[in-house]
Amino acid sequence: MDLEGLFAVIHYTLKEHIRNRVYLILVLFGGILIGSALIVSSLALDQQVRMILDIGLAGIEFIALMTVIFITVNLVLVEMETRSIYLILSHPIERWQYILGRYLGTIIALLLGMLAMAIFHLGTLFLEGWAWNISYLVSLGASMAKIAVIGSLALFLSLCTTSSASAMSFTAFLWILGHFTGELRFMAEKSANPITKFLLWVVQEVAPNFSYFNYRDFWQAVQTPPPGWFAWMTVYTLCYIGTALLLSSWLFSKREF
Amino acid sequence: MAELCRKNKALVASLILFAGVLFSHREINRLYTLPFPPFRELLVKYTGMQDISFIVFGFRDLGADVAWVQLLQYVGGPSVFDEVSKKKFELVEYLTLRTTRIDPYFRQAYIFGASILGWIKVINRPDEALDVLDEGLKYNPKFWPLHMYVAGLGFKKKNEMGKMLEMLANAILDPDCPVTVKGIVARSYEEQKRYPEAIAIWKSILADERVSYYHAKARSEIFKLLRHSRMP
Repeated sequence: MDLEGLFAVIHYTLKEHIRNRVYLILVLFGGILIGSALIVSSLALDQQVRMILDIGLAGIEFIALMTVIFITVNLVLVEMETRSIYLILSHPIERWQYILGRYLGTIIALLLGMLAMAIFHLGTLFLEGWAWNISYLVSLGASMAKIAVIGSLALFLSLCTTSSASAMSFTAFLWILGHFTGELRFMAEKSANPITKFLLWVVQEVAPNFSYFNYRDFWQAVQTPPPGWFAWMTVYTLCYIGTALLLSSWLFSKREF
Repeated sequence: MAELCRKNKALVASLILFAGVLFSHREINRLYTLPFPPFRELLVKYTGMQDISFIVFGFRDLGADVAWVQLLQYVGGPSVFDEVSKKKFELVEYLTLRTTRIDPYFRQAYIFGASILGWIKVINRPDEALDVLDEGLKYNPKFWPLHMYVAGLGFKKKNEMGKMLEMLANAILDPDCPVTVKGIVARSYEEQKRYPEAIAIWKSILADERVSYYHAKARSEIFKLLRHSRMP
């Protein structure tokens, strides 16, 4: 299998994003947000460090979410609208390589942005006397995995829908639904109507369960997840991304250019 | 069928991977249950929309922080000792439990709320304080300061002030003990005319760089206590 085409797409996507003003402004905005945590956290009295930690981790994820939605939804759509896709596909490159390359290039750019914000955030925390905790890295990794999953879904939705606005709305809807699946499970258990019960059960099984990626919320709990749980989370993340990318690739292969 | 599968290889592969999603989801649920109270237990009377929004957007901890700041604003921050109106503090238990039901591992919130309810003279609602501590112990059974505060409240209800102060003095040794709680314990010592112990607590606050906003108050309290201790 010739992967030269795949690497070429990853390379040009990465370069495109790093030169993109929207991407740079969002990363810069993330930095400002984390910096402003220093001021806002003074309201929390002796919980200042906790608040800087929470604002920073939430801010990094929020900025990454905004970026992934805006960038990924337009990733293929813009190239189709501007017809530049004809030029790319005229090269010896498979369609799945194009989809995978575009996705990986985008995710690498995003993860680099998140890493830059995290370094700035850690600097702020150390300045305030925070004691290093390995859970920070796990929380950041989980956040990155979450962004990778929502990115793959955003790409899939951009190919399913006709406009970027609807793809963005559906992606945002999935994000919220993904933090609500625990409640859906409860509602499914309590519902007396078998149709409602079945529908709720299907939705909570199929929708991505994003609450599990919020390790920052439960690392202080009395019982933390066992190592096997993290292994299954990795499998879950990879399978979800793989499913969304394969479906995107399948949809893309059906398009006529 | 074989021809259809060959033509839609990506679709078939995605179905196989999706089976992996369903299976791993089941295993994840089997190995660990998220340790949070369900939505129906959230206190939503005044700020439900705000709290639920934070949770469904995936920012639970930040939601608890905002609730904490709102609790501090309600209580009045370091000036809590100067308040005289009983009515103003009716929502302390509600606002504390609201914060901790968003994040049940926000241990300092239990301690802060319970101390305000149990040891501030004008409030003096030890039963509500015990409710807060009981809930804290439900989620954090190994967090030793909570046990100390429960015992301290028990002694307070029996009017055994010496034993109560002994418990509290141990509880505030926790490095993350809220500074307001330390202030409350210092006040309790002062009421018992145990000035050296009260001065020692204010001095420990003065030495803590993290709570510089409280240093002015600590200094004035030390001066006041030194004056009292020199009185015949």
